[in-house]
Amino acid sequence: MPATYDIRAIHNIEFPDGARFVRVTGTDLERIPALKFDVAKASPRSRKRFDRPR
Amino acid sequence: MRTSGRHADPAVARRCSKACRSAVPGGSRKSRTRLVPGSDDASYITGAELYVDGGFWRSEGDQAMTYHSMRSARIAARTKGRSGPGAGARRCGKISSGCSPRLPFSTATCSRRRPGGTRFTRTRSSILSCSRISIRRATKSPPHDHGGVLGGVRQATHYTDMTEWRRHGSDERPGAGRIEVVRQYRLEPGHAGHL
Repeated sequence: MPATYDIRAIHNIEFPDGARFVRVTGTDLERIPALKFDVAKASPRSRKRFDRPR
Repeated sequence: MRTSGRHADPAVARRCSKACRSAVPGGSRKSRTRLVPGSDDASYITGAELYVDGGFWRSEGDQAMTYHSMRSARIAARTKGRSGPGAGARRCGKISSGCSPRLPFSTATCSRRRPGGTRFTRTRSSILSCSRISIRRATKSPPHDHGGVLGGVRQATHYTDMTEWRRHGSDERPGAGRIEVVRQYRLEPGHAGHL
């Protein structure tokens, strides 16, 4: 069985120009507290958005 | 078929039209993603299985989840911390390509002819499901989590490199802990993963 992205599972994504995908979540991710991590500093901090639509 | 009676009200439909194309009165129903309530069957809210076209697709080993149907897939979505009926409950959403059975999902919804950007296609608080189509320029996100939410992602075109991280230590305070890479894989068109 694959690893499951459960709650608080840490991940990151990278994709090229033109990549298209559909994300289905249980709620609007903009409205919930979450953490993003700075690998260099090894320290998480709260985030609002890092992938704003352009 | 309209999935929410609330949007039958033209005023509500107009207000939601920017975020929800299906709410546009008289609008074309092609090229539309809609979510309908799924079952609470635990077999596909575990995050390890997807219900696809009448059967369960289960990934094995380190292989990414794959399904070939471009028309529909149910992806588990779980939330917690909500109040009222259904608090802490699990809900499932179904992605459908809309009303045209001839159009595959990626063509109907994620075609290159469609404008870029990230769009909400449907939000229904009653079933706690959101669908977002991401069409953006090349991006590499920093490691992050999505709080208390389990969701799914389905690749339509090109690819997405996914990296899973593990946080060391049990200290949950902001600013504490260290992370390391656990697993890396690539989602190709037709692959589905969880986030």
